[in-house]
Amino acid sequence: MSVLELTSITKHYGSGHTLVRAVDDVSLKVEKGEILLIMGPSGSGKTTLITMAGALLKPTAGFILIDGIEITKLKEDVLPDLRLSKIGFVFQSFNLLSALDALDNAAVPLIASGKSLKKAREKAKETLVKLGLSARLNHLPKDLSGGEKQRVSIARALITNPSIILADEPTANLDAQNGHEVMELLCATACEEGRAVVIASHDQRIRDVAKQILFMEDGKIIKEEKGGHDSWCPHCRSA
Amino acid sequence: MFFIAFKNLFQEKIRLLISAGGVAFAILLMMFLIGIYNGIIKAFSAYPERNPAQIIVSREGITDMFHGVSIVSEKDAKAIQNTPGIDETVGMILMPAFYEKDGKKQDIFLVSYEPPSSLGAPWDIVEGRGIQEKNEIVMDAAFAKKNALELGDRINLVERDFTISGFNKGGSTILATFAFIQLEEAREILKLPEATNFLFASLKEGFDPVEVRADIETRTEGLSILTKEEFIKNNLAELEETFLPIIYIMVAIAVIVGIAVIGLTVYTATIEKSKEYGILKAVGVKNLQLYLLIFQQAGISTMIGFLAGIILSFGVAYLVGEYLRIITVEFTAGTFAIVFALTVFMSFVASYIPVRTIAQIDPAEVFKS
Ligand SMILES: Nc1ncnc2c1ncn2[C@@H]1O[C@H](COP(=O)(O)OP(=O)(O)O)[C@@H](O)[C@H]1O
Ligand SMILES: [Mg+2]
Repeated sequence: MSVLELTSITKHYGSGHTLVRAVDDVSLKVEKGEILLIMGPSGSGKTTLITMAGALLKPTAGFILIDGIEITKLKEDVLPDLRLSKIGFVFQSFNLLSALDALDNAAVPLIASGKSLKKAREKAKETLVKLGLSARLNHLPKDLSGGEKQRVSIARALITNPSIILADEPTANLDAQNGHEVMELLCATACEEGRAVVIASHDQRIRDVAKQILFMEDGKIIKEEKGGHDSWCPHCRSA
Repeated sequence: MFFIAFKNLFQEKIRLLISAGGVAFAILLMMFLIGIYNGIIKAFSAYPERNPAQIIVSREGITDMFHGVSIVSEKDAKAIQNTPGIDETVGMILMPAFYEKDGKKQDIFLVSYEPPSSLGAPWDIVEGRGIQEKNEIVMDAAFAKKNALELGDRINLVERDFTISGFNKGGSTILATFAFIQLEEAREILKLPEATNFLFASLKEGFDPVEVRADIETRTEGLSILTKEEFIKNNLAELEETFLPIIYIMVAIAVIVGIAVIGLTVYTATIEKSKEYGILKAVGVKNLQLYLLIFQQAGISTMIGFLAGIILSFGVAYLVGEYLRIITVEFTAGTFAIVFALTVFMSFVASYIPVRTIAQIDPAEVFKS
């Protein structure tokens, strides 16, 4: 069973002569441990696609299955729980909560799922330490570098142990060094922890980490290609 | 989610200070209004309340001390004294008078009593003693302090000189102060040897005021016979009718001001953080949890304001007691309960618009950068 399955997904905005076919009849499958990169120029529909896969936007037509659950059929009020348990998001602009330090930011999903503050913080600490942030636990976002912020947001995405990580332009606001580190972290979560990772980006560097690359244009998938993962990935090479 | 509410609030300390401060002043206003009202009520009921008389008799139709002239004849007084269950009766003469100082007239209720009986006698004598001789008067301590009167001073009222023999506590109201003279002297002033205005009666142990009243009613005619509770209630009725609506309106205004302050600060904070609430929604935080977060933020600021307001209220009540004297501010458990309930109400109402705003945030927006 695929972790994520999109069947004939279409998203239209507006109507009549202002109609925008943001995503037009896209089908794809993502398995455990997969790293799928969706590339394409700005406006090609990458973000719209990933937003639908993340159960944040209803498609105009088509079905989406996450871990075999058809989320397009689910009621609106059960989607938050589904996102909480199955999906981790990584954003271009990090999207941390400004009032919370790194530890609490990473702990938010666990707190939202009803864990005690103490337990949530313990787990957040463990995750942040793994991501190399042991010296930054009590820093507010404003006192963190871009790379550190993105690592905190990755920690937040990983903390509930979701099956899918959805990352939209995760390296766009980062320099080469930090971009590389983020790629390694996403690679590790797929290769070592078996999560499905979907990255939307037009950053050419990410081609190296991807196992599979889909090219989008005007809402359609126009090309499919193998990524550079196997020769690049430190985990897979040593294995 | 509570700690997020807490962190969000303390991130903007100035805003928290302003909203809690606004609430504190609204609370102060409410406490103060209710406290003053309590104080006025307490002062007005002190005289009948502290009077050991269980039955108060007046002319038919006269049910309180402030409306109309009451007359109770000596004959009726005797009939009442002879009613089974009556222990002691004392007539009381009430004379509205005024004390003039620096061209300002201050109202005085001259009430009589008959020492050594405690019926209608001054209570809580804090300085000096009760009346022992003719021409003596017992006055309210706060009134005396305000007018720089001392024990032994002579004071001219109703064209007669009185010597102050004692001061008692709690006899001042916002309208007038109670002063006590001898019944004999009051009779002389009013040339009323065969009657008094009211009659106070105490009961022997084991007698029920309502039953004794029924008995008195069969033995007399043209009188109004009241239990102590009825008399107190009647004396307060007009005051309550006059002041309560004003108090209600002013407390309502204070509540609205509190809601406006809290509502505005919570609303701006919500707008500023709308992107962050969108992130929380995207991550999987439910709408209800976010509403709770808003309530908690409103709740924490109002509670800080509540505590500050209560502390302020005690400070102001102390200053009023110390410098205004005639007015006392009385806080009862009920006062706190009412103000606390209003505070909770304030934070609920203030959260309404921010909650609506949050409900409308589209979590899909988080991907827009
Ligand atoms: N909420 C929206 N309303 C109307 N049009 C939208 C909306 N979101 C995206 N679009 C349009 O859909 C198309 C795809 O956008 P997007 O998915 O953001 O592309 P990408 O992420 O590849 O840059 C664009 O033409 C964009 O203008
Ligand atoms: Mg995009």
